[in-house]
Amino acid sequence: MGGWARKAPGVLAGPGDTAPSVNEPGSVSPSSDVSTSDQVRLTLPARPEFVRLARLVTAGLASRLGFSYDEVEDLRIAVDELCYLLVGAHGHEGDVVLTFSTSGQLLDVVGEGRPASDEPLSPFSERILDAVVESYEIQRTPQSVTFRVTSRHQDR
Amino acid sequence: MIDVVESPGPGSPIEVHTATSPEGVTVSVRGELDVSSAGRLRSCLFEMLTAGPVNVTIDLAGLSFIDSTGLGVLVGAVKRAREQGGDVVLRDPTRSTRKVLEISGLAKIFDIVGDQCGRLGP
Repeated sequence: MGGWARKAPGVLAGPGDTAPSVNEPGSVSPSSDVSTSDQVRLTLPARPEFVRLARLVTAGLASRLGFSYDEVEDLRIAVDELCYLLVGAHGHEGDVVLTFSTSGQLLDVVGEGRPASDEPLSPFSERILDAVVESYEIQRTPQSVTFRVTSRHQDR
Repeated sequence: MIDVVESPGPGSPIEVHTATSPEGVTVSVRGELDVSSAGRLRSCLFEMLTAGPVNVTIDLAGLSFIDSTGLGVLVGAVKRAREQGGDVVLRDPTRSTRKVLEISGLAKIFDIVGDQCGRLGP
């Protein structure tokens, strides 16, 4: 899927990245048909009530790519747990940007935003993430947190 | 029997029904238990668990999603209940909820009854 490159402080380029689109909070970049190499970008207010939308988009894309029910559930909770780093229990000003990229059987999700706090993932979160996804990464600066989670659709 | 529905506002991700009987209190949770809804369930449970020993059954049949924040609410509830001489039982967790309980290691500390799908793995 390629490595991470730094384009600007707190901004990381991921696979398939093009010129960043400017989205209003709550909007989704137009990409109604997900083919083998596509990108969907979702910008959300950094508030807890919007994390549900991140789960919905994750589940919708994963289902469309042919992920099984269990695989969709796994990825849904993984994105939810990682979004907590960007939103926290009470939210804050600013946005969370989620970028969903597909490549073959892989669905790659990158989340970026201001850190909700200095706290790391809870032990519950870590245990859940270790069990449900094959890999995830978290990068922190004082001004930003970026996570990346990758899930592979298993042939059936 | 008292039945209370707590469904705070349109679009709320969670609905909480409470029913009281001589055997104890049943709290039915429907929807999604996450960082945005956990506080509401926490308030509901803590209110009933600080009044003295009480046995609470949390019906999870209608819970379609739970994350680590939601798990924290359940853990807090069982701790508080046992401190007061009561207990908390989880009833009918869905397959996905059961999986989260298992992988978090919390299935061992809860009494779980009426599984919809049984245990995962051997």
